[in-house]
Amino acid sequence: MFGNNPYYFRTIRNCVVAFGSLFDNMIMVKYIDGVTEKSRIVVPLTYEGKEDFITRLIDNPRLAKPIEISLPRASFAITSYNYAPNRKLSTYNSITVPGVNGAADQQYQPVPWDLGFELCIYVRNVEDGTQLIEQILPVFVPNYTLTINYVPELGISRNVPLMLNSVTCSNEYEGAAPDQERTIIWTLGFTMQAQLFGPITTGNVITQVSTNFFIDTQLGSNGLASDVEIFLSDTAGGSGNYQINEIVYQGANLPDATATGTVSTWNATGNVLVLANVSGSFLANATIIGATTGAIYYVGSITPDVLMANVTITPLPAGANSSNAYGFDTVITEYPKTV
Amino acid sequence: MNNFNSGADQRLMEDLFCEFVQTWGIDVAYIPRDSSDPNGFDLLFGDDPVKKFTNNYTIECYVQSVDNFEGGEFYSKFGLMVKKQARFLMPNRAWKREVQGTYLRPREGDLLWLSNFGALFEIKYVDEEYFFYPFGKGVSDPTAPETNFYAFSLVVEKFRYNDETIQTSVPEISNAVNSIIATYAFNMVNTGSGIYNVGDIVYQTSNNNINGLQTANAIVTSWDEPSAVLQLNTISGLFLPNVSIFDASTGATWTVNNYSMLTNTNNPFMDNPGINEAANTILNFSETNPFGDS
Repeated sequence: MFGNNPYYFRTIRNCVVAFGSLFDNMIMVKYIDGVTEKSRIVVPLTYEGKEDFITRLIDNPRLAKPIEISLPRASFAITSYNYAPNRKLSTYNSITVPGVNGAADQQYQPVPWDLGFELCIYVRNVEDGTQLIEQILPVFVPNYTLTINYVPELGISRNVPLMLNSVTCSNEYEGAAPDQERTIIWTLGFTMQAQLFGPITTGNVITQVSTNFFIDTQLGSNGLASDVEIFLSDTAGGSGNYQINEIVYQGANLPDATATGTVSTWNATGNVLVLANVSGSFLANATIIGATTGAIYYVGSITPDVLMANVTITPLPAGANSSNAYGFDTVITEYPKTV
Repeated sequence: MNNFNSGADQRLMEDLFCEFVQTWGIDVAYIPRDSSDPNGFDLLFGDDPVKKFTNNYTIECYVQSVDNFEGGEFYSKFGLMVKKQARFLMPNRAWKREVQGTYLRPREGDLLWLSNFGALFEIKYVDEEYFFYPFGKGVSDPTAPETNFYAFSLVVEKFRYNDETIQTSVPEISNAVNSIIATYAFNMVNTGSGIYNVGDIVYQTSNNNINGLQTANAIVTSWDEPSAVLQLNTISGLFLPNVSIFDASTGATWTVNNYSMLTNTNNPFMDNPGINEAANTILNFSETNPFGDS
């Protein structure tokens, strides 16, 4: 179903490591009379749920553990996975980097998942716990952002917010003697806004892009290729001179005009009139009249009214591949409408 | 006839019991709790984060749990918890003989060291009503009427250690504590002089002079001169690299090359160093908490 090429970026494992790294150097200090430091230790941290045999072999290798457990201790684990649609970006915003032999490696946008983490701190004394908690809570307001190198193969590094959602303290002290044992465990709930990445695909580099498109000259603006260039008739006669920015029209009068436009340029010698802001369709063999000057000439021909253009982009130099620095060459070819 | 107020019978009963315990019992080290807190404990939260154990008394006890410990080992999210319980009978006469009134009774929170098992147990519960007193309670002591019974029944459970100071006169207890107390290895520059003795207090100073103002101190767990590795426990303050660690009692002076408190050499069940090492390869430290307020 998912193809034959397995992929695994250890993203979840890396998220676990990133989370753990925030708490791997928590120091608990013992104070005499609340002021003088007696001693300090780094709180041991473990990922929960190790294999039983691993736990016993490590924690009681000689079967001679002289104590029940040493405290304080902290542990953490992933407790939930939830899809996060509000963080989803377009899949097609792919990430592409140079590959080998001139090919390119590509990966689609990752999928956002919220990873729920739980950090538990087991302490013997109340103030041992409050001391550690007071070192944690101010850091999260309510989130702390890590920067994780998600996919080193593609150089993908993302900021990953980690939000502190909940803090609870369980102090179980009620029960019948002698079996009851006061147990203080702090539990902190976090959400890591992680992203999971799909496979990396490798393909040849596209070395030529060619695009055809039409230009609607009737909607052009002054000075652009979309202006209408009108060649006036030399033989049919005419009079006057058009002014720049003057409105010209075809028809009985301006309000009833069948076509209007604004004069961009007027070449009285060559009888060439260029119009912008054209509305309607100017026709050959009909007069075109200046609304201000009253200049009037017959239209000989209109060239062109629609262009088809082709834009072709190629790398420069032409033999460049994805591993090289390269520029690009753009060739634009315009074609008059032939229909 | 009054069977319940016969002092002779009661004394005979107690004699027989004490002889029985001395014959069939074991010697345990009773280690009373003391505290660095001037109030004896935290008056607000009702615990003692700075308790310490610095005395010990050898007292014979009878092991009631003849077959085995109660409880066992549990796999928890924090690792292995050896929740083993045992019950002992401690003769009142032996208690008074050894402790000599320093404490009224064995107290919950005090420790027992059981040589047979090489383990520290915390007293969870003390009961003086274990015997049903077929002859009535023991011979009354007018100066301590609350102690006129034959024995204490003790329920003990393996100690939940919290980096307490445990310094007794029993070498095997010291060895056991040295195997559990948080200990960190310091790699020293191998051009120092002198030796560090186990148990010595060592320190760094603000001017790197042996007579300077102490900025950090600790207790020596071990010193291996060939490898120049100094293991320290009960660390107080921040030790700095490239600064000497002095032992005033021996004059030893060696300079710290490097050390890491992420590795507690007495606690292999911790992922701190592994996580830290792995994080160095996947975390981008070019910026710290982008978009965060802290």
